[in-house]
Amino acid sequence: MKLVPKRIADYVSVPWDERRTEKVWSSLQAQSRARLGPAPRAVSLARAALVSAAAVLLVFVLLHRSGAHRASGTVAAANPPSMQGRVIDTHGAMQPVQLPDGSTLLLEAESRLWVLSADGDRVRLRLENGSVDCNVAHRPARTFVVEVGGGEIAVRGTRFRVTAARHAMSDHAGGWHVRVEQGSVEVRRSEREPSVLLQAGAFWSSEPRDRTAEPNTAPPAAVAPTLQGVAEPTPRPAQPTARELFSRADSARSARRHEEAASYLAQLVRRFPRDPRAPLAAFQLGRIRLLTLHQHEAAIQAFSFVLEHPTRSPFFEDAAAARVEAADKLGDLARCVAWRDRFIEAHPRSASAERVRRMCPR
Amino acid sequence: MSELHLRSSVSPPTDAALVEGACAGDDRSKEALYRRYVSFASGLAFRLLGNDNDLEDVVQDSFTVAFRTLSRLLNPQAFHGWFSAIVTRTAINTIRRRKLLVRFRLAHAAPVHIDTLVSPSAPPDVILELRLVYGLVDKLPTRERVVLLLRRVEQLSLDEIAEQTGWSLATVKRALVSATEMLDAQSQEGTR
Repeated sequence: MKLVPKRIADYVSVPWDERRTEKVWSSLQAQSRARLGPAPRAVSLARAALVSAAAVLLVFVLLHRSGAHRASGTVAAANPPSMQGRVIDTHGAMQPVQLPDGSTLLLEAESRLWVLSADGDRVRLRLENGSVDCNVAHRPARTFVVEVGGGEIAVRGTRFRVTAARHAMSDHAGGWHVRVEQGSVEVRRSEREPSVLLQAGAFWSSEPRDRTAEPNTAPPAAVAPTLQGVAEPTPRPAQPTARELFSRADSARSARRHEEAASYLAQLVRRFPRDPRAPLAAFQLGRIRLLTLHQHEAAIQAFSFVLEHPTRSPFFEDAAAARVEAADKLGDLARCVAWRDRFIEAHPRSASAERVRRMCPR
Repeated sequence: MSELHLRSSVSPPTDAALVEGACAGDDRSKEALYRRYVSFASGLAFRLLGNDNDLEDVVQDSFTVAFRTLSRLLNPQAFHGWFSAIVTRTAINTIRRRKLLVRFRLAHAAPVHIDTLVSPSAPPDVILELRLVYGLVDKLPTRERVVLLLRRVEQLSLDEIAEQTGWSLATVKRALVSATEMLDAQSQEGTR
């Protein structure tokens, strides 16, 4: 028998067990169910050819447009620092951008932003895809506008996030939403419609059916009065199915557009509570709210849905641990202690037991 | 004859067979691929991340990408190398994203826990090497960090690192030189 020497890598203890193997497999299966079945190779090749052709066309159009901008921007280029005409495409990684007026942007992966103008008097950006967090320097004399999906957001100095729909050819075409973190912003769905003033904490979506999607994130006082009066230009499209919602959430999550993913998952849980995907959707929603959006009370609601669901999901134990963590972060000592003790009693040998035991210190 | 038949019937399917099956829409082939490679993926991802924080996400995202793009794999028997590159690149993106979020104070840093990372059965020289490497990685830029780990822990050749990361051979060499210099400096500091 030949002895194979161990690699150094073999001496690293990897915290992976059967439970995690099953958990990830359940998630992958749910993703797979949410999509259509895998395409045969020939179809995939045809699709790849189609996508390649579209990509070549897109590159040509972009080059042409940026070339035109370079030509018209030669005066601006002589007057640095100007970013006019730049198209920022983040591909697979997030990208921070510093604008000449002192504002900073953080673009999510798979985002595309076009800097139409960026000087001391006027900043105008166009978000063509993905998400951008804008931290806008306060300058009363300067206008700061983000164009997205036919509408625009105008601000003076504040912090907000804009997300544009990813699938331009789906029924979600042109969809976008805004979350205001600080100050206020003016949102206009199209040129023909009046603007809406959103205050800090407000969440607004350009899609009519999403406006009431998350009651905990959309303060009605800031949004409802103007939105009620908006006429529907076209008949409302069919409501997405649970599978479509799960698939959209998954795409958004993969592209790190967490708010959008949370919005889809919340819709799925609310509209299809008996669907087999609902517990997993609620668990993922809870994780996004807890770890990324830091909405701890909303995370507790999502985890409670998993724990109270008649079908015991493979994520039951994780949801119970995560609910303790959310209560801990919320500073709700009474619920934290009660849930912690219940968790330790029910799952004394859990991989999370030690971590949960350390939570809610008095 | 019967022994030969028995032997061939119990031998596990090759990667190529599973890839072909998965491409044709056979869920059992897909599951078999997952179960065959999940330990490998979690191990590689954990060693590159250095902690448990994003481990499940990296493993899940890697398989999602692999299953979604499986039909592009021209040589199905080369699944192992192709999948290694997917795991490595997913981990690289995760490390970069977390660094950025930490810089913007949108997330907490996830430090490497050397004591829990090194196996109790590791011989003293391996413990020393792992402590040295993982003691440094948090201070390195992502590229140097990944190249150092792939070289010193995974013990890959420079060509293999270039292939796995998608970086040029020259970039890999430069990153390795830079990381090794820092490693030597830290090692000398430790012996003083």
